[in-house]
Amino acid sequence: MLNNTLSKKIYPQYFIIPGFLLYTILFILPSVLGFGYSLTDWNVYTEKINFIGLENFVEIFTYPTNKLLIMNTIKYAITTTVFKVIIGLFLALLLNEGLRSKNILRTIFYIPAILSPLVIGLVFTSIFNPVRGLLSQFLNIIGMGNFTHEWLADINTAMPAVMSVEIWRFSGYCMVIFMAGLQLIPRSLYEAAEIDGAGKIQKFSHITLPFLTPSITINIILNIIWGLKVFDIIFVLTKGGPGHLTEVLNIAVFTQFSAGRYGFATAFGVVIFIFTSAIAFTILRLLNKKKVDFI
Amino acid sequence: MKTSKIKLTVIEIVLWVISLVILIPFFMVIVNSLKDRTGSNLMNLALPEIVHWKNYLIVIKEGNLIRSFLNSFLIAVSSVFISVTCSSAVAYILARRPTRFNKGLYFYFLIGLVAPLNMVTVIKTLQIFHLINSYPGIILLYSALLTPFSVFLFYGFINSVPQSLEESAVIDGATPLTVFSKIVFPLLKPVSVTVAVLNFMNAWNDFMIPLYVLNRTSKWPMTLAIYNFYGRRESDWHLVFADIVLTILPVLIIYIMGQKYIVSGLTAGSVKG
Repeated sequence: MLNNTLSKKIYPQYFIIPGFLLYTILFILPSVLGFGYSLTDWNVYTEKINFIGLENFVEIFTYPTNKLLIMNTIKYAITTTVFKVIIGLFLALLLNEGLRSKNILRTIFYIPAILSPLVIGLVFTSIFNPVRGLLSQFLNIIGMGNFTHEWLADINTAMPAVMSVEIWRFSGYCMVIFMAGLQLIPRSLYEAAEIDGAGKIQKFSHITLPFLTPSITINIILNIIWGLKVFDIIFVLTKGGPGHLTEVLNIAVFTQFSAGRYGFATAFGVVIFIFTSAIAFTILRLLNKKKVDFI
Repeated sequence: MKTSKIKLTVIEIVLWVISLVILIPFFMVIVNSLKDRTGSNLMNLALPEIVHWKNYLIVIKEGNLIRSFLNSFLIAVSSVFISVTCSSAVAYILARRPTRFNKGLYFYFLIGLVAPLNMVTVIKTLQIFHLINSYPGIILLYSALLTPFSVFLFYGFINSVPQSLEESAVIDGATPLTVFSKIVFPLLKPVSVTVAVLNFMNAWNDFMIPLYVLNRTSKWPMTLAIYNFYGRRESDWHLVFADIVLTILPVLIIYIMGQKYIVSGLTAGSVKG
């Protein structure tokens, strides 16, 4: 351990100033201001900003449309996370069996995760085209032509369609995290278990799964957080429609902002902030019997 | 675990079939970007009868893509430069001097991994500093947004770099800045590349922030330009597909070159039990 004076001399505290200022002014300050402005009627039409207490939040949590979009956001975040984690785990376990084409397959499965969600949304706008899109073409080929739909405009298929794009986009990300987790499991554990007569399922539930707990935790937390913050994909695919059926919190922020209701838009932003923090910490507490090196 | 050869082959075939779900959309985009308008409107997977390279020229011209490409490039590269410089310095001090205060500060930076950016008040803040609608504004905003994850990655890595060189260099009379820039920073190269690649892709792919803070078309990045182009030429899928190819090409190239850094970055800290 270095003595304090030498340590101060080698590692001057002022090194952190640029990063600290940047982050504080452009990230933390707006968030703090957001809490303040969410309690006002700040808008584009009037000069004066009035304090209105929790009125914006009352409007958010009592109006049916607003309740609907909160439910949509939660549904979107949870459903996509469940599918992404399960598919990612499935792919990782299969790739881990020692395939020759492991690396190239991993590269392919991960490609959608590196692309702009906006661009992916555009590609799927074409795939979901009710008449000419790839999906409808495929259904025609396999003889299920009468199932073709206005995928993005039908009240029954709009939300599943939007969610399936996110699952398509990000299952490969979960897979990569799981593959890294699988590499940490010592081979010898499986060999010992085999000598003791353990079957496939026992090996999976007693060795693989416990070792993967940290990867599962991180995948769930990150994907739920990103799900709650979703914007691009929904904006380009449906803009929240039909009606408000695929509208989510971040779309509402944009809509209210464009309508000039800044205080109200800010309140939606605060709701996202509260949701993401609450969920991140709850999940960490619930799942985190083992320590995860994340926070 | 011994898995029989037949079973392995079956798994391999199954996975290649699954991979078609990812590959076919790309194939569809590429072949249709080379067809004429009528051909591309069928959106099928047939190869083009005549290859229309000129789609790309049209879209570059009409979509104002050279300008947008340079905008995206300027914004992404500058944000990478600032975030790497600032975050590595922050992480270096926080990791090397783990006082109570600095541990709290580390946590303060990690809030940004979870918290969303409040766009409405971000605009207000940018207005206060006269940064709205400007390159410096969006560059600094991205740098701030990318700081938490960058600090997190650098912090984890710096803890594995030995400290002895730094002490002896200072005792030999080197200034702290020389120690950091000449001795420590070169040792951080693997993680710096990871941070740079991931930050570049995040800034390049983003759509929401420019949508809010840039309303002059001359400053639009690729994502905003392509969205606008799609809005104007919705029925010209051959051109939209060509635009899509041009937008994702730089990221794909970086991905294929820097794959190992990306994977190490996104698994860092997430799998240690």
